[in-house]
Amino acid sequence: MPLLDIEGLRVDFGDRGRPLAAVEEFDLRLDVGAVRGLVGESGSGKSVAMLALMGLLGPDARIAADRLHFGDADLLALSRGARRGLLGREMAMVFQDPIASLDPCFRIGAQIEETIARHERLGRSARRERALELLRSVGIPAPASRLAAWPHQLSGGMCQRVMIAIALACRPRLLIADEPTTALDVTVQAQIMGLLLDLQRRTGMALLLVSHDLPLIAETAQRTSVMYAGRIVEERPTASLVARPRHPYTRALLDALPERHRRGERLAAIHGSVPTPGARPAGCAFHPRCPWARPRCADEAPALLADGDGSVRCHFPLDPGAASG
Amino acid sequence: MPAFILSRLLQLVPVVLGMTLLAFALARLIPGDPVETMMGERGIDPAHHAAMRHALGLDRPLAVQYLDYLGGVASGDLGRSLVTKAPVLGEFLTVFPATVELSVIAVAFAIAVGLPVGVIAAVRRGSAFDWLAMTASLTGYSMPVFWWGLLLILLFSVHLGWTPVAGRIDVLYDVPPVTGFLLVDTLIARDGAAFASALHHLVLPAIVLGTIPLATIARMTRSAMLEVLQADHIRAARAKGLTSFRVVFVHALRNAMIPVVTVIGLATGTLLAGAILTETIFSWPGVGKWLVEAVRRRDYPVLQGGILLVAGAVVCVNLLVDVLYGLLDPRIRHAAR
Amino acid sequence: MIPASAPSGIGDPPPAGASSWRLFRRNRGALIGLSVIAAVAATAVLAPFLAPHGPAEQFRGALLQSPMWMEGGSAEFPLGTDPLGRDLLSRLLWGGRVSLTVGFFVVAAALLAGVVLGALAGFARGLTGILIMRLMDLMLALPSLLLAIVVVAVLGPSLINAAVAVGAVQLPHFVRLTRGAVLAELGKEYVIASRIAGAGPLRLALSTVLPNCAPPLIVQGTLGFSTAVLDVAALGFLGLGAQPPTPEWGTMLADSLAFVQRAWWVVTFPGLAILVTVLAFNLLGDGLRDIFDPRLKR
Repeated sequence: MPLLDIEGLRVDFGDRGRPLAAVEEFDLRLDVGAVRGLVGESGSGKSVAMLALMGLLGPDARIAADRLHFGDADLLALSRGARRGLLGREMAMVFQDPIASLDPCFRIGAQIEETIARHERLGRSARRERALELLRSVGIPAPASRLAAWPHQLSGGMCQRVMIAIALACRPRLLIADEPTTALDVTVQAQIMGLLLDLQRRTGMALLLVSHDLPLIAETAQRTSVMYAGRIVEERPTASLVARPRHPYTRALLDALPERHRRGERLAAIHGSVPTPGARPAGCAFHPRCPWARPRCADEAPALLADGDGSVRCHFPLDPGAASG
Repeated sequence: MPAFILSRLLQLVPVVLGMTLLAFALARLIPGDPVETMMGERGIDPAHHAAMRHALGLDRPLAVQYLDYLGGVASGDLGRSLVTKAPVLGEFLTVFPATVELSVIAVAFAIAVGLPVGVIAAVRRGSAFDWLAMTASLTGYSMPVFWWGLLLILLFSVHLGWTPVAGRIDVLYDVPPVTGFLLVDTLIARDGAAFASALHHLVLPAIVLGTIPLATIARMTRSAMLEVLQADHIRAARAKGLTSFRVVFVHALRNAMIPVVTVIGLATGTLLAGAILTETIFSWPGVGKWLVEAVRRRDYPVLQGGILLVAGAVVCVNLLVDVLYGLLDPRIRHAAR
Repeated sequence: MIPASAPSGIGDPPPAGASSWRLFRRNRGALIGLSVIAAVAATAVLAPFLAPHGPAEQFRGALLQSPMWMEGGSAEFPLGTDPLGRDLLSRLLWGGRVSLTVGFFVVAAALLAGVVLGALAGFARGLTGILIMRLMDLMLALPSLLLAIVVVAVLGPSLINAAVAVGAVQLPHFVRLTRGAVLAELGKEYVIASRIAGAGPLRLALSTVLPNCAPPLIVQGTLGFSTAVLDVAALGFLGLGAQPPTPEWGTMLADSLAFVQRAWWVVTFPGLAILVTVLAFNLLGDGLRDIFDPRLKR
């Protein structure tokens, strides 16, 4: 049984009469202990999908799904209280801006212990011991003194380590990391990614890595989903996704990477930007930006169909052998 | 923390000096000659007049006079009332506790009602409660205090007969003054009936005086809460699985308290202005009534000393707010030089 | 990384209130506030025609007469009469003239002086700026009504002096706001650009910086109007403002204080007039703030 099983997830904002779908037809299956990547430009709906899974969206978001299972729990059938009970204990999340994600009015130690106190019956000294051990495991130097530190006294990288410590406080089975390194310095990014993978291997939790940065995910995730304009457009093992992309958007993402280019060659930027939920074109949402678009792409929306070792949402998937155009 | 308080105290020195300068200038700006004011309407011969000026030190340079005045202020000598001939400081100390007692209860009432109303309005944004609370608070904020007090007296004292019309306590009780706060003094005297009477007299004035702070606190709490509820760390707190109650009342409210404390501090400062009107309506023997009477009787030494003392009290409240700030927000505490 | 779409012309000042009117029409509170203000202003202007009687005209045969819908009332005095037999409605209408006129001049004078002093403090660093700001801090340290009372004590009680006092109390707010806005604008790129282009400090102040300080000043001015109406009425109530028989709302209240228990209307209507006017200006001010600063809008 997969740890996470999502089928047909849909998130709407706006008026009921004119709903704006931030996420549609979102499918994701994640095995116990797997590392999965979710890639897309900002505005593609990946964060909204993750927040919907956690149940952290505001009351103006309407969530529907054919299937939203976590382990043997049907998340849609659970009461709000029961779902909240899963957060921080079974499934945890790390956010993009670590400094803003820590409450400036509470000490680091208190913020870690708070999660433990919420989910486990532990005495004060046992909680403190656990918090100390967590800070040590996320590689914070002098952890004993850091327990009494305030968030504003720590750097961004340190704050993200604290956030990870909080997320792991109750040994969750799933950790969602939403752009965990985007707000950090380049040198710190690699350390945090290394830490996340190391902790994943040590604890055996599943890791859902959300990023706009395809190479970052390519190095770490076993399988990767690519999102565009609220939908998943391609999904397959990361290695084959990078080597033989079938969706033009995946291909465009890869072509835009500087390291895939030889000297003197021009960098291929994707012209235009992700359409907002209200302004999505008819047919395939990517067709206005797609160099391979044909008339059918503007008329008929493609479905996500099985394709080799994964699936792709395209009327005319690219031939893996063809040279770049 | 002591360093933080010390730095705030040092910043107050120019403000306090400026206040004394202002109060000193006030005495010079007041129309009429101080000697004539002291001697009354009767004309006095020029030689006597000059002698009086010399005796009062009015013929010395202004700077010397100011330093002399400053010395007097430092030693607690703020002059004597022209009407009662009593020392200004002594008079102030007898009326000040009445105002403090009234203000403290008024602010407590404003916080006790305004804070939860603001929090609930923010959490239930757009609901009927939110609309009602914000309409009421805007109305309260626009309320002419003197009229509001009269309306409440009309309703509760005249028509319903629930509350007394004026004063601090029934005349039949004789409570030995210890602290000057009747609620405390009656308890010290172990006189339950007197305590009840004092409380009874306090209710309506405190509600009137607390109305504007209540409206301000509710509005500010709501907007601060709305802002904080959008913050990343609130989402992160929810992601920990914390209950809504804990997220709202521990994490959000604690952060929202920082701007709200400013408003409470400002409200306490403006409370003295409101107290002038409230005390006049309810014949409350406090600082406000004392000062208004001083203006009416042209008792300038009282006015001069009084505003200096009130300004001092306001400055103390502001200092207290600053310290509270530091307690609430670790970032400010550590930023203190 | 270079942003995909560079902002058009870094040297341009931000558009001040481009679509403000459209936003205004959608803001219900501001609309209601403006409508009420317009109505109060209209009745104040037309008071000589609308009022059934003169504001000081005494009817000896109708002391403390009830409003027309009550027993003992008559259509001749729709809202009843005061202890001296003057028509309450007429006095209220004329009182609107007093309050709005005083409010207007108070805000105009405080705004003008505040902008000049604030701009001075913002552009001229050094001793001038420090002295101005220290003085303003001092004025802010005192409760506003107390400061106004002190000013009235020095000048003597009268409507004009009360207006001066209330204006003086408002001054620091405009000074601080202007200085803050000037300092904020001076750091912005379009100002630096026009400086590089050779604009002198005065031209800079008049053509680029001050127009961009306008929105907060308009909001503060509107809210200041409500404070002015309230404070003048309060001074009148304490006997330190307009003197009888001037039909000023606060003074009217004070005059009839002794008759509260016998004639509720002499107290209720003047207070209601103050509340409605003050509320209208606060609604408008709040609405304008939302319009000018959409980030704060909820």
